[in-house]
Amino acid sequence: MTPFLLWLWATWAGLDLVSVLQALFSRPLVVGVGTGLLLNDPETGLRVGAMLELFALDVVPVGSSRYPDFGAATAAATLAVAGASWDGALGVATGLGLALGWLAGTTLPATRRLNARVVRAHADRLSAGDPRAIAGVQWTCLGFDAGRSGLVAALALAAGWGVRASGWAPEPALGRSLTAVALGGAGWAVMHGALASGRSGPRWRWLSAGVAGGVLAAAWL
Amino acid sequence: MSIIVARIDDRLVHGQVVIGWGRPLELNRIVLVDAEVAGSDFERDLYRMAVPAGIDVEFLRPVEAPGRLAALADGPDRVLVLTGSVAGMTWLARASNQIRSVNLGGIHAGPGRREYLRYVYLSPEELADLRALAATGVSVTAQDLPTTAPVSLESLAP
Amino acid sequence: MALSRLTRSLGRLLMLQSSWTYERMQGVGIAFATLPLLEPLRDDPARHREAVSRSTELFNAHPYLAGIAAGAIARAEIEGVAGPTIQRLKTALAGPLGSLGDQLFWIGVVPGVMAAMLMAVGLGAGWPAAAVGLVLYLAVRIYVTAWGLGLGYRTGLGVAAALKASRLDDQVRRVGLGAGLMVGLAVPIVGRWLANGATPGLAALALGGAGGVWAALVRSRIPGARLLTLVAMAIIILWHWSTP
Repeated sequence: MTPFLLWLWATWAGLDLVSVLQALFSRPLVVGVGTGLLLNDPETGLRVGAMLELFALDVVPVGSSRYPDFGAATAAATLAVAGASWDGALGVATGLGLALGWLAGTTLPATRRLNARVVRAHADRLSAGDPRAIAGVQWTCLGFDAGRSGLVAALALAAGWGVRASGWAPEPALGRSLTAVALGGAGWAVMHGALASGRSGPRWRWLSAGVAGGVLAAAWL
Repeated sequence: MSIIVARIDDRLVHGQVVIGWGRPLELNRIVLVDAEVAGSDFERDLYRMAVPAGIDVEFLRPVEAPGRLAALADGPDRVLVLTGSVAGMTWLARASNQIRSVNLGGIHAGPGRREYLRYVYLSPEELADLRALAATGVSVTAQDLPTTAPVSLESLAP
Repeated sequence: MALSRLTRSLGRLLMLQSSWTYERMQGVGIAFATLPLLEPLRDDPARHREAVSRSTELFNAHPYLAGIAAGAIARAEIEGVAGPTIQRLKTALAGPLGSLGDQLFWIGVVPGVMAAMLMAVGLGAGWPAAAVGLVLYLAVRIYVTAWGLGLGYRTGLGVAAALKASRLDDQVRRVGLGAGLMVGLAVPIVGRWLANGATPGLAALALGGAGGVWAALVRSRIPGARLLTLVAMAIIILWHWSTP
């Protein structure tokens, strides 16, 4: 039952990214939490999700730009390391999540080209104002993205399961290095994301004030 | 030289222009050259709304544009010049002599047009028009966002 | 009757981008969402066909705000506004609705909400923080789309003035600054929690953060953080394996 629910959850994340709702179901933190709960290890889901979320904050899906798909990738990364001692595993999960997220993202333009074929095949009926053609195109394309999301979810989860089943675990020193690299990359991503979307004076001041407050709070607690 | 980008985009002012280009290039002025927009209150209202604080936007009829671009070229502002059509931009480049490079940012499918890139569709006349402009020394490249690689006009193939 | 049509349109707006293509972008999606609203024109098949046909052409806006255009276009069609004017309205709405929505949601509310959730998690709130954030955001997302659809459908060609009166563009600045503050606050707090207090992790986070600021400041192209991280990891693993 759990594998099926995991697949369903990761598929839903893929659909949320572009086609349905576009709420937060495709965000790494949300996907990680759901996956962690399904695997009875919410703590790991939370940590993997939070780490990948920092990377996702560097992604702005403006216009028709290309972006990664972190949904199934986060589920797979969580699956790979759930139950493991997290401090060595977090780096591994981050690397796996980033690689799978990039691979999954490459399926989006391919799906759009499939959509374009359907639209072109119905171009005459669309220009004739045929409501049934519009509904047919819309549902067919939704089917494509459901297929894409389902396939990506299955492959990503299989990869995550493969890492888990291989029993490979980095030696503690390597694991700690990978986690440190992941944190460095996450810091890079999130600060770049915060500034790439606006570097005006006020934006700088509010971001700096936030960082200063955050450092104080982190030191205090 | 303060005309930073001269862009052809049939969607005129939208997110890719304002966020994608405006912010990393620190633009503070967008000059939209389009006779119909310049003459329509509701369109001017809408496009003005698309532009965030810190960027000024002005709407010019083509006849007003060459003189204004000459003034802006010597000014302090970092300017993006925008037209919705190839013909509009090639005319402007020739009439103003202020545009050194043209960015094909979004020219979408239409009658008589063929696909060159996923965001560039051109008719044979438009392609010839751009080639003639490039022959006068203006650099013409296609690039939807600053983070993607520019594609030169010569290497565009259907 | 109108309410049922608006509800069906709203449901369809929530799956607007399923049929996204580079050629028409959200064109077919917006046509699908506008169909229920154009039903009053069905008594005049020729007019209905023409309106539906127009609705399928190139369109792109922020998905949450596209309902403003769907509503306004449907209202204009029902009132018999001339075709070319409707087309210009559609083009003119696409830019601002895309730009405003991107600024308001993709680089405003979404990072702000995610940062708030990360901060709560870093402070020990655990997974319920993510669940609460998700539910609240979902409510906002659906409310905004319904509000936009209603606004467009009420005002038609007057939508520009109505949008101006809604002060949506004033919110953009405020939301953007708030998001910056939240992200700034969240990073050290969630970073400390992720590093579990370990010094190398915290040092890497700070160093990486400085790198990200530097990369955003210089204008030349620098590889993104995701690629840099993967490359650094690969080098470390290879180095580790090659040293006995």
